[in-house]
Amino acid sequence: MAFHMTINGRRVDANAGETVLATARRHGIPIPTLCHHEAVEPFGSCRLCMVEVTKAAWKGWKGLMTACLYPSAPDLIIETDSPRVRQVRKTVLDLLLARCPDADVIRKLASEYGVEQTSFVPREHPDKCILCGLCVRVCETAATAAISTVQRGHHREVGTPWGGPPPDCIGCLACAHVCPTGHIQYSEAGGVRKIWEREFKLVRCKETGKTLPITEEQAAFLAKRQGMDPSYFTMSEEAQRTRTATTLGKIARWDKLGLVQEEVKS
Amino acid sequence: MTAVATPGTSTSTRGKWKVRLIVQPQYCIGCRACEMACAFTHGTGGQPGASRCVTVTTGKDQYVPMFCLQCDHAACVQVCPVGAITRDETTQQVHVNNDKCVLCMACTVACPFGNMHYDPLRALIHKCDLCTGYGEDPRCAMFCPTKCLTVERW
Repeated sequence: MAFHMTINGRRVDANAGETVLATARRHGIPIPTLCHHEAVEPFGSCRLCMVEVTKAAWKGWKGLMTACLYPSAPDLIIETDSPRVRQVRKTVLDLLLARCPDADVIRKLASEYGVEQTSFVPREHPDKCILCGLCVRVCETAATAAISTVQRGHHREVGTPWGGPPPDCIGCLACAHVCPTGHIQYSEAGGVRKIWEREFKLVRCKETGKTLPITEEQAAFLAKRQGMDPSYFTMSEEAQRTRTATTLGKIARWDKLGLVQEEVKS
Repeated sequence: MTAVATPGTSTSTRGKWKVRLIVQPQYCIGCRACEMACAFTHGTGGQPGASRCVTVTTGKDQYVPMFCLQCDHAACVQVCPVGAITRDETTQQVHVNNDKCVLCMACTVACPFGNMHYDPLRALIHKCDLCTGYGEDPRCAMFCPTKCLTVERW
């Protein structure tokens, strides 16, 4: 069911079940986010997507809501860049800057909202983690829930069971790729991928011997979970392409060269 | 005439036409105009690395331009752990949602034809989308000098 609502004075159409953020983005209205990712359910932990929500029937009352969680509804009036919204986002970014002064994405967003230097007390040993939990949620959805937030309060951090190498991790790098600030680091050298203090052997192409961008654990996991034959994960992209091209070329040239049908080896 | 065909479709910009890209490798001269056309259409500044079409040299003067075949039972759709690769039911085209992708690289390995590509510069997965959303026929076919790539509408 489609209906209309107003964003920044513009009448836009929205669908039932959609969030305000999805509606705004579909119409090209920018709302900054850090913890949002399409692959996982919205969580509302970074608080950057705050917008002002009201309705004509609410007699002037305006609420601040997270756009990523607030469902679109008929006749909503949304302000994504009002002075009140900017003030809230400025405070959020000020806090985030105190937490992660080295993160480029935070510094860039903060300077857009007029925060060059945090007004709070910075952390003594800052890292780039904003504790948005996106990596944890993606790991739950796409992989094995190998990481989680551990401890409470000031000591809360994203970590592995007992702080050691995570036994369930498959080394798929999804956590590192979705991390908005680039806190999760990994390295790859000589066919070995290292992430979360654990080493993974990369699959080698059975034809060329080149390393594939997936680990042996990941190949086994995907074969089992997605119900695929393990032979899907044994050859590199180039080798597969060359093999297919050779076969297709043979098929195509039968009539051009006037040859009798030769046997096509798969 | 033998041809390798990739069924695909159209958006509203192309009206009700369905579009199918026909590849006839016996006419390919290896000029790589299709790669450049693709790179300039989809990439930023036409780096050949951004091309979704790769011409493979299989022998002396033998070239095969490789495109996504838009498989009926696509391995990339099946392997994606977050459902970012989907088949559009109305247009029958396999589409990558880069907002949903977590870059686990499973699809680039799983594709049995090697037609899923990773662009390290922009950090995204891309594949041939038959120029859906670019308003016209696939650009590679428009620039192919030997009619190795042709477009069929029905």
